[in-house]
Amino acid sequence: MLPFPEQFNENEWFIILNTTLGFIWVLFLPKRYPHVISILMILLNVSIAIIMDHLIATPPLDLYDLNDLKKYEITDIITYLMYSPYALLCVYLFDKFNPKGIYITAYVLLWSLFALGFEWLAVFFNVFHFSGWTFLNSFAFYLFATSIYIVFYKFIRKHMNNSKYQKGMP
Amino acid sequence: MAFSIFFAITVIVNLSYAVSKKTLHLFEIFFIWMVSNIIHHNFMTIFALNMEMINFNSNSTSYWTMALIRLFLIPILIIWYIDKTQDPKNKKIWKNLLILIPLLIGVEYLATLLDVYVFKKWNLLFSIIEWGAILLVITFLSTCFKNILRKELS
Repeated sequence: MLPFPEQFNENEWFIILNTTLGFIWVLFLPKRYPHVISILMILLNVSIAIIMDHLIATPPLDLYDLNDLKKYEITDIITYLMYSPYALLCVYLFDKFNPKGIYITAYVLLWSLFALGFEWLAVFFNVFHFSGWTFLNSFAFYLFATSIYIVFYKFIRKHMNNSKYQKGMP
Repeated sequence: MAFSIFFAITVIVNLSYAVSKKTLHLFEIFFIWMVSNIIHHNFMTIFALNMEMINFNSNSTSYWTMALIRLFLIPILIIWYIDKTQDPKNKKIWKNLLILIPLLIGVEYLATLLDVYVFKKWNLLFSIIEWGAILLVITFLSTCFKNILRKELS
């Protein structure tokens, strides 16, 4: 059902090392907000990645391929987790430095550039194979995705402060 | 035509859920929506790409209809079901499941009828197993999330 990669080479190492080291790094950060926020942020990140990939990287659009095989392989699933530690770090630093006004735009721009650099590395290590997709498309998408993370984070943070689990709820 | 039909169904279902009395916390709704999307997208890609049991129609209307079904129709039906099962007054959890699974299968078969999907090596039994497995995983994960949420919010 889910095939293993044909060869265990640079793309698999890149994905596994990035995901593992990224999550280890995030785990050692001092706690700033409840775990439910982190869970929702990771899920949002994975959801956006999966929705985008399964909509534009599969036929009829098929704008890029992931990893070694044309089929959906085990490493593809781990690839979706690869961005999560950085998404967590993005909202963590946003919470810590709390930028205001034009600095929010600068913050989004900076993280989008970081994500673009990260994607360039992923392409270099053969994680992504573009066939119609470009880095410019990616940059536009990262600007949108980073804004969504921050808006979603601010929304759930505000809602968390205002809500309590009501008594009598199951 | 397929897009219009599914768009109408999606709006009616989403609107009905939005105005109905909810038992779930907003974060639980977000959680179930995202988990349903992740699991359903994975299942469909495995069935379509790896096992070649389902074909997706390549015209743009079918493509956007499929996206609409996956993103907004299926998850809201699952959220609504879990919302109902969490209601302390509800004693008919199994009855709800017997309504939901045929409903989800009905959505799939309506999509086939309207040429959004083409079933190749697929049958009704696979649909029942697919939705049973998806609902089992989502219910388990949402219960775990509810426990964490309850602990952190109270």
